[in-house]
Amino acid sequence: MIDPTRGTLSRDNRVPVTLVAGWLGAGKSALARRLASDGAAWVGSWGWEGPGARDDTASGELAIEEEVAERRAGCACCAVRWDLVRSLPSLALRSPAPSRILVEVGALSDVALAGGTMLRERRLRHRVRLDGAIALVDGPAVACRLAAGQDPWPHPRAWDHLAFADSILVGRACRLSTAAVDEVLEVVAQVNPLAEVRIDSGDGAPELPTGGFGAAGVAKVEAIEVPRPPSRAREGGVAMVDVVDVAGELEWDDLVGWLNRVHRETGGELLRARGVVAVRGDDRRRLVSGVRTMLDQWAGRPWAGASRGSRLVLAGRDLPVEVLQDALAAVSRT
Amino acid sequence: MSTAQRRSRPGGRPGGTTAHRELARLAGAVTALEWSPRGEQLAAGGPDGVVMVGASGGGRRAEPVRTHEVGRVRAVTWSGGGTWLAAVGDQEVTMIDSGGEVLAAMGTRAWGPVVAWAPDRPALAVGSGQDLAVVDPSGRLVLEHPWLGAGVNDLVWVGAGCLAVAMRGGLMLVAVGDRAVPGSGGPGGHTEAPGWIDIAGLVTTLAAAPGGGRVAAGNIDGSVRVVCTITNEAVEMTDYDSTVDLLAWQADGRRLAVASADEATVWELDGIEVVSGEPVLLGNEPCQPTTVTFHPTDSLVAVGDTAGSVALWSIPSEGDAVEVATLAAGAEVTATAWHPGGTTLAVGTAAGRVLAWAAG
Repeated sequence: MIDPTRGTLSRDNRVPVTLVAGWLGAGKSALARRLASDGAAWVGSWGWEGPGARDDTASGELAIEEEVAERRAGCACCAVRWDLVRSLPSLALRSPAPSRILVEVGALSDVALAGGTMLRERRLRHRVRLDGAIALVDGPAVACRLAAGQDPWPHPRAWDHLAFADSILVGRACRLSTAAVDEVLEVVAQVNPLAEVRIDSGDGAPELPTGGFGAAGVAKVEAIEVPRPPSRAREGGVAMVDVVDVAGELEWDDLVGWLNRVHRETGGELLRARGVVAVRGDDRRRLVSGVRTMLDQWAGRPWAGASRGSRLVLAGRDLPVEVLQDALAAVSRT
Repeated sequence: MSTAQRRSRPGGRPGGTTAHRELARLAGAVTALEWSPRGEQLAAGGPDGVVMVGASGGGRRAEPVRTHEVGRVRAVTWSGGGTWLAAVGDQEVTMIDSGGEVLAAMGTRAWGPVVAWAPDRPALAVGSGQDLAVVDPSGRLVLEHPWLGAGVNDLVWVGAGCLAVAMRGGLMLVAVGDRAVPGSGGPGGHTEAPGWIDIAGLVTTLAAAPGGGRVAAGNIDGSVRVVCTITNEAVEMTDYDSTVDLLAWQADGRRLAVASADEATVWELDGIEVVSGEPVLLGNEPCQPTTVTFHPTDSLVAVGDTAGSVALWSIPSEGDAVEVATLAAGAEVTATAWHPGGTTLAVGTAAGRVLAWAAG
């Protein structure tokens, strides 16, 4: 079910939230500790990683057990992270207010569920806004798996975390040769060629991605240089992150119907969508950003004399992008 | 179980803004407010602990403020006789007597404990994560319920010796006895086999109806149910667009105020029957309610919101609600509490102000 909601706050004083994701041992907690010293609050995750993560509370951060609640029986896309619904509003009200809230997403946790909770749960939306997502990669661990001829990503959730992210931080790269670093960067780019990838020097707090889920971040989609050939995470020709371009204008309802089909009928899993849409009858670009089937939208720059067309960046698993592009082109009118 | 759906209805006319007075100023957001049962003191929870404001003249005159630095406080609740105050922190519950002495501080295993004083004895129920316990004012464990299997989201006493616990998938009813039972986990009491009422989704919040026997349960699926804890019969009110997380009963138990993130409504009930079939909507403009509080004796309900206003609504026996007054609190309203005499509404804000509004 698509539930479009308008981003309307002109004076947005909500606390920004950044999701920090990555596989076991990638350094999520260490990164959050480094960033928490700059006035950010941190919600640690026990998730599936076990009670060992309880130690996080010793440094003043909030460690809370992950709890998923379905708003409608059997509807996974209507589910929310109840632990975040409970804890984030009170974190945002703390004095002094945190400059940012970091939500650690456990290795086997659903990053789209954590992000979607902040879009779906309106009580949460009043106090916090989803601002960005960063995924961490343990460079030596990936290099070892590559050297052993193994899949660099031990679990589909590891792909999800990379595909969902605005930026990817490769840690402990100082332990690798230049060639090994290049190999790691290559396999990272195969999953998410559009993310900003950085090598973590370990000095100071790394820069976090900001605005990726807001209008300013979405507007940049128009200027993306589309990687060719598109990403292929697996043999079988399915993309993790790819771009769909169609010329002409779309009816809003057609776009919504198409996104629903992406999510429900392709056999894949849509994690995130963002882009610039030419909506029929609208003189301005429509900027959209969402997690799974939840969409925010904003009015963008006027089209003026520019030729109208829509561009959507999809992140997901097993998405047949060519099929989806054809389906969207079929409902677009030039 | 019967079901009623809510629908929109035009709101009342806007009211005037009335004067207010600042009782205290905290270092950060006021997270909780509660008057002592006889109205002599107002407890305000905040970032550094509990601030106690002595009050007289129906809460209109404030006396020197005492602060108990017990750490960040998320909720405060007085015992029925006003002898003890429980201050609930992120992972701690502190017992303070009415003279201001800290009697005990108890840590909890999980973040965000919830508590409720028993109406008939000096005992505080504490839910935390999957733990449920009852302690006395000195912090001594009276009983500890075996592992619950799901997290406790809220709890209320629904009459003497019966505790309702909000959980995923339903409501657990725990009978709390007085007898010491070997192996019950506590020296002075026991729990009997719990009853269970299935409620699909996740029960977020509870409100016990005055007089006992009924409890209102808000749900993450945008519904609220009123359950008879004797027969387990229930009525469900549906179609809220977001989680129902604010509930308040009118003093006579005939009306229930229900708020989600985007609207506040009032249902009229007779037992577990919805009288009119649809609720009264408090306002026809979108609002983001943060508090709903019924007047202790009258059919007035105060609704605080994120925009920093408190609207006082009169609920007539027929027709639309009428907004009779509005308070501009200056910052997001985070807590409200009526003085037991009904003459003063205490209002807490995200900016740390505790205001007294002569709104009755």
